[in-house]
This record gives sequence, structure tokens and C-alpha cells, in this order.
Amino acid sequence: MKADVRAPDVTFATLTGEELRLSALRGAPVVLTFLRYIG
Amino acid sequence: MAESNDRLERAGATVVVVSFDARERAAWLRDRLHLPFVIALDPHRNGYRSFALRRASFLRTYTHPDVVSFYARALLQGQIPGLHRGQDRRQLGGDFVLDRDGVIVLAHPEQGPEDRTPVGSILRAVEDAAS
Repeated sequence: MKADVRAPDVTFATLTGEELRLSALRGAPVVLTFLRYIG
Repeated sequence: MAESNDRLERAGATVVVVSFDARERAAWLRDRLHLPFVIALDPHRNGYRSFALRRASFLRTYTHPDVVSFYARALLQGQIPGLHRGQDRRQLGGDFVLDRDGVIVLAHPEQGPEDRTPVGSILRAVEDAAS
């Protein structure tokens, strides 16, 4: 499915506690994978 | 997986894997699967909501034929599936590819626990976005 809409600018925390803002990754393709629960 | 990683690297893509689980569980998964990707934590599921990722219904979660056959095979092989009490098994995930400008060029919100994005679709979308 091609959506052609801008991604929401969400901020996450990384495992090392740093902030990761999606808009900071612009300039290269990004694969964003949301997991289900970790078994 | 190595070939997929090579294609992602050639395209200059950043892969971000988001989990709503606890930091320790996410780190455990990264180490267990040797994930070379950025792991992001979203305990309050703001990202899940922003990308419109739903929770599956109880029936879809526990009675879909693919789910039932997975657990049946595990039991037949003598494996006792974990019950994962306290974890939200109904929260669905999904895959998205963003181009250089942050535009979503592939969106695959899961429709059920058995629903997965074909890896080839992701790789093609990344390569198209990079070209």
C-alpha cells in the first residue's frame, strides 16, 4: 500500500536513553518496524 | 537476513525497530537475534497510535487458524508455549518505509497477529525511495 503522506514526527527513546526523533532521520530512507509483544 | 541487510545498507537506509515492551526485553531481543538496527522504546505507544496501529480483537488474536496451527505444532513437538501473562498480546505492529523527505511510501499496519509484511516489499520500497 502506498500512502504518500508525511510520517508523524514521533520521538522515541533508544536503549541507551537518547532521544530519537523521526524527522532527524530525513535525508535517507527509513524502515520503521513496530513490534508486537516480545514473547 | 545478510542479503537483506546488504540491500538496506546499499540504499543507505536506517532501520528503526520500535517496541512497547520494557527496555530489558527489547535489549534481550536485540541480543538474541543479533539485530544490527536501532531499537526504539515506545512504552506509552504514542508511535503506535500516531501510525494508527490497532489492537486485534480477542477472536482474531486467539482463534485465527494460523495462530491455532502454530500453537498446535508447538505442542505436538513437545514445546509448551509461554503464556506471557501481563503482556498485551492484542497490540498489533506494522511496517512503514519513509523516503528521504519523511513521506510514507509503504504502509503495512498489521491486520492480525499472523499478518506480516513481505520482506521483499520492504526492500523494494527502500530501493525505490533511495533511487
